[in-house]
Amino acid sequence: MSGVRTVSSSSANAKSYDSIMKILLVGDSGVGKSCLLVRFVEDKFSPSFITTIGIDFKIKTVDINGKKVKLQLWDTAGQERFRTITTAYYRGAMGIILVYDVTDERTFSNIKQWFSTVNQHANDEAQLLLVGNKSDMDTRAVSTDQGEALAKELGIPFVEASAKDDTNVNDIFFLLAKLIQEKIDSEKLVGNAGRDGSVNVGATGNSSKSNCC
Amino acid sequence: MASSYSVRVNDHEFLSESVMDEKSVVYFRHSERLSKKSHDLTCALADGDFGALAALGRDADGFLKHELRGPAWLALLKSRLPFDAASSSKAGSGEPHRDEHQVSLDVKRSFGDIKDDNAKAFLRHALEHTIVRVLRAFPQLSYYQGYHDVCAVFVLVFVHASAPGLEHNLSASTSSTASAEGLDAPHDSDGSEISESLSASSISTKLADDSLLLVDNEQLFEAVVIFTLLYLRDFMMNSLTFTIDQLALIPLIVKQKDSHFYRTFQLDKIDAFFALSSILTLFSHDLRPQSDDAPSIVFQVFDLVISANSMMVPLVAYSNLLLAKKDDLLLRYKENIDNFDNSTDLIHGVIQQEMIAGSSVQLWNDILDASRNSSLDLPKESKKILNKYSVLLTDSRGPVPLEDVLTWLSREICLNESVGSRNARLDNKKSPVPKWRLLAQGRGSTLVKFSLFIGVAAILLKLYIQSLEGHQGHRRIELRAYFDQLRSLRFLGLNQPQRVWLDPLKTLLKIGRS
Repeated sequence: MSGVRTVSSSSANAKSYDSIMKILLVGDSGVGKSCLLVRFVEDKFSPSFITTIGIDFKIKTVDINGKKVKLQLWDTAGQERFRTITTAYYRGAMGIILVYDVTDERTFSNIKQWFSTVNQHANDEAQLLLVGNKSDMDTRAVSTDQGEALAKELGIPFVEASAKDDTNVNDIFFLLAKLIQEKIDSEKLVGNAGRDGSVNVGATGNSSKSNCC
Repeated sequence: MASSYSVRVNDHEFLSESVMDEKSVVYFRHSERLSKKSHDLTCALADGDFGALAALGRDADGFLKHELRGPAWLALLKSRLPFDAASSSKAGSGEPHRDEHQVSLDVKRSFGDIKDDNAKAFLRHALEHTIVRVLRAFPQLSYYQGYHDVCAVFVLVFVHASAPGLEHNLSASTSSTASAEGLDAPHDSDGSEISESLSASSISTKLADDSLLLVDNEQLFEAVVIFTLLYLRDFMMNSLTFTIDQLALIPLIVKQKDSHFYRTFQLDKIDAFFALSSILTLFSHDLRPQSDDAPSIVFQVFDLVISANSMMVPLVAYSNLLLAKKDDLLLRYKENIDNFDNSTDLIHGVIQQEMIAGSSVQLWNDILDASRNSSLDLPKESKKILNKYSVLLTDSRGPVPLEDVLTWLSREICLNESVGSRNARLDNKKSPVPKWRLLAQGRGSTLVKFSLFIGVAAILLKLYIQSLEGHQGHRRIELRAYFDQLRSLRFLGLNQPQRVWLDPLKTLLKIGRS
């Protein structure tokens, strides 16, 4: 019944994963954020996938270099008015995927705006990734070169993908997870948030650790 | 062993004769009740007895079926806000609305569960047409993603199918047969021709099996306009501020009913953003894809809102849902306490996994029943949270003239804009600042500031005199230092006038504690 893969039902006693990564998808409305996510998590595609209102949450456990990594995937609404709410979820994100639609120039030019919103609200250590979705479409308005140039300008990696014909979708998430893992291994700055208590100690006073149960 | 076997048979296979009999009696009672209710509804509609109509709509099963639901909704809505599509055609400039691009993006993603391509195209057309018409008639409204889900519910209620097979489905005796299912029936859509006829008041289309879909545009438009103006105003500002205010009532309702769960589940500490899509769409977003029976539940939520004339219904229903699931929620909460970065993520993740995903039709029927019997009174703290033109506070019991509702709307928009600019100035990344805090930060009116100053000065004077009489030297020093600070600030000029209003309170609180 559920669209959510509930890995967590394995309970805290016998963990079925080695680490957790919080990943967020942002970008204009209709670029295909939810479609990428559903393709990755459930391997499904529907051309008339429903709108995301506010924030949606999914989980998928993947294998990265022999380690089981539990990805917490947060899908956000694209409409401007939801930004006050969605930015509340940027906190603690280790990876943020900025998505545009290669057939819609407007969504591409808005990426810089998304980039600045992300920089304003997310952790400095968060790994960003630029994704041009709908690469299968004939009505392309943004070339691969333009995408690459923008990624270079922003200093972040770039992938073109298609949720529809399942091109590069897994690569997006695996690449991001690997980059995050490398950061963790090299810097030891972004630990498994909340698990070892090493991160975001000062973020707010309402850490889950403070609960009495 | 034997007893457990018989239980299994009785529960699941209904083989026992006695159970069969009981079941039959229950079934006949139920169907008798439904047909009596159907009759009562028809009479109430014919008599224009809105009191009786609302009472029936609030009762179990709501308005039963779309052929009664549509007229009942329209009658009740019009009894509260007399709005006539024909006479109000001059409303608005008719210019394209700024949000029409977003509307078309969302309409394209609507009715995805309807398999017949012609039916889907027809419903999408009716949906887009209605939303755009509302926005152009009332350009002061801002469109939000989710409004299309609400309007889609209206489209499904006001659409009629003319073929005998479909008609049977649409007018089935229980409300669990939704029109969406009926429309699924014809699958052979490839060879059909879309023959869409447009007239002033209705649109229709022919489906693959020669059945005809028809929607009365004027009725649909009127119902959506009235529903929007009476119940969705708060959501249609140019920001989510007043929506977030509404969400803040959910924890308060839960607290009234179960303060232990309220605290344990941290509802006192986080914003109820997790409920956003459910409240903005009156559950039409979250319930739709879950099961075949879900549409009937959504329609009954709308039945209840319209009958009770209260947007407390979704908030109360959401609170009831949380409470119905509280044991599972707390279990998952404990299991996941170390898995999330912060409480907002944890509670949201837990709720999304447990509640919306794992909620059965039976559970939802229980929630609806509980909500029908719940008080729809506002929690007592509400007035401090909500703006005074909120749909939860304005009284629309009697017929309210359109001008009055439009005045509420324009005043609410003004308030929203002033709150928005305040928040922008504060550059606060967190949730909107409570009004008392704005006041304390010197953003109240001059009169309020002055009264506050007089009050604070009086208290300070009294405390100062007391401290002079007392023997605690350090307190005297603190107060003297404070007066020095006040004096120096006064000579600072206009650069930091606001601090004067904040500091007395701070210092007072410090004195109170020492």
